[in-house]
Amino acid sequence: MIEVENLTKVYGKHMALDHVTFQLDEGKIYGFLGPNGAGKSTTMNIMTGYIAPSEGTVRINGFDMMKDAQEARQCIGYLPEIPPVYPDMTVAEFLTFAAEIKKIPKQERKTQMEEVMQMTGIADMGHRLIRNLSKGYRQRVGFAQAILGYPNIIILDEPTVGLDPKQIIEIRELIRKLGEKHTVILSSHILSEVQAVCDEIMIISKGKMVARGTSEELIHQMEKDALLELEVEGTPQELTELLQQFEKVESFELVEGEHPEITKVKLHTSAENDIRRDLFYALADARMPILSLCRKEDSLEEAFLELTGEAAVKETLEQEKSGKAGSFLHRKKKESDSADFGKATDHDREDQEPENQEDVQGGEEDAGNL
Amino acid sequence: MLAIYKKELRSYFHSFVGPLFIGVTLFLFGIYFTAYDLFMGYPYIGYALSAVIFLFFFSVPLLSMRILAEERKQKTDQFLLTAPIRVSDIVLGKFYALSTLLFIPVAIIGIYPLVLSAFGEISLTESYFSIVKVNSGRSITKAEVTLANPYAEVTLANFTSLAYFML
Repeated sequence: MIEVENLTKVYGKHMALDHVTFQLDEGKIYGFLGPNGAGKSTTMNIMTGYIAPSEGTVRINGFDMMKDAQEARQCIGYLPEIPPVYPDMTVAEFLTFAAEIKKIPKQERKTQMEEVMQMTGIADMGHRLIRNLSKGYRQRVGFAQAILGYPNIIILDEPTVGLDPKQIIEIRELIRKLGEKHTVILSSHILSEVQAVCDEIMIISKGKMVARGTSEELIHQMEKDALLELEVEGTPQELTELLQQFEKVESFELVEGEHPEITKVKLHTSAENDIRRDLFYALADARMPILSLCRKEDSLEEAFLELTGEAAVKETLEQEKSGKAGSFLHRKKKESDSADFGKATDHDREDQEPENQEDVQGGEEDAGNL
Repeated sequence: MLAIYKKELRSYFHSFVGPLFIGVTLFLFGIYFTAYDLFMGYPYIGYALSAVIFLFFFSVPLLSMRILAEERKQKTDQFLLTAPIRVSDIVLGKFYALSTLLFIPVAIIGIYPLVLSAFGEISLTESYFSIVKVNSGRSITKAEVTLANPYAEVTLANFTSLAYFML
C-alpha cells in the first residue's frame, strides 16, 4: 500500500510535480503514463526515496519515506531509467552485492539469485562482465536486482526501453507474473505497453495527475463526448434548424463542404444516448438524405492525447470547478482546441511512437473518408 | 556497510588504481630508503617517509575525489540511495575501503625497520609507534611525526572530499 499526499517537486522555477495525491493498493499492476517530462520519473524517484520532495509525504506500507526511510525502502525494489549496474563487476558479483545490501539472509542468497536470474533470462550470464553486456541485458540485470529479495512493491521506470520486440514480450510476461504476488508500478510513454500490462493506468501530464482508471474506464470516460459525424444533403440553415430541436444533441458544428448542397456536421451527444435512429428518421422526414453517418469510437490513444494536452488540463480543472457544465460555446471551443492540440501532439510523438502514430493517422483517415 | 566496503575494495583491485597507488608509493619510498638509509646510513626511516609524503598530495585526491562522483556518473547512486541502508553506512564503507588501501603500503613499509635493524642499532619503537599511531604523551620524535603524518593527512583529505560529495 502506497500513500502519496500532496507531492510537489520544484526545480528552480519549474514545477515538476504539482500537488499529486494518490493511493495504490496491493497486488495490482499500475502504469504511469505521460509524455516526456511529465513527471513520471520524478514521482518514482521520490517514491523510492532517491530525491526528497519539496512538499508532501510518501508512505510505503505505513512507513514514512522521510522518517523511516530504511523500513520503507526495504519494501521497494527499484529499477531506474538507466539500470544502475557497475560495469567493472560480473553479473553474479553485482547480484551478490545487491543481495548483501538488501540484507537477504546468507543461506537464501544463492537460491534467490538463481531464481531471479532464471526469471530475467540471464542465468548463463553470471560470469560475464557487465561492461560487455548489451543494453537489453543490462536492463535485465537491473531488473533482476529490483526483484531480488522479493519486495512487496516493485517500481520500474520505463522497463522496456532499449529492448528488442522479443525481449519486450518476455519482460511484459515477467511483469504480469510479478503482478500476481507483488504491487508493480511501471512508467512508460508508450501507450500500448501500459494498456497491455497494467490493471490501472494513471495519466500524468505537466506534473499533475489528469486521469486514473482501468483502460476501459478511461475510454468510457472519454465516450461521454461521443462524436457523430454526418454528411447530409441539405443547406446548413435547414440542418441547423432541425438539429436545434434535438434535445439530446449537446452541441454541433457545421463544416462547409465543397459542394453547396452537402453539409457536414459533427455532433456531440452523451454516450448513453444513441440518437442515430432518431436522427435518421428526422432527416428522412425532412427530405434530407444522410449520405454518411459515423460514430467515432474513442480509443485510449485519443483519451491519452486529449488528457495530456494543455487545453485538456485546463478543461479538466474547469470541469472540476463548475461540475460538468457543458454549454454550447464551451463545447465548441473545446473541440477546436483539442483538434489543434491533436496535430501538435501527433508531431511530437512521431519520433518515439511509430506504431501508435499509424493508429492516429488511421483514425484521421477514417474520419476524412466520411 | 560491510557490503559497500567489500565492493569498494574489490573495485580498487579490479582496476589499475589500487595496484598503481601501492606500487608508486612503495617505489618512491624504496628510492628514498635506498638513498637515505642504505647509502647515507641514517638510522631513521623518517627521512624517507618525509620524502614520500609529497606524493600523497597528488595520489590521495586522485583516489578519493571520484569515490562518490563515480557513483553519480554511472547512476549507481540511485541504487545505493534507494537501498535499505543508511547513508552513513555508504560513506563509512567507502572510507574504510580507502583506508585499507592506504594501510597496505604502510604495512609493507613496516618491514623496512626490521631490515635495517639487522645492520645496527635502530629505534624500532620509534618507527612502529608512529605506524600504529599510539601517541601516549611521549615527546614526539621526528620519525613519528613523519610516519604518523601521512596517515593523518589522508584521513583528513578523505573526510573533506567525502563530505564535499555528500553535499
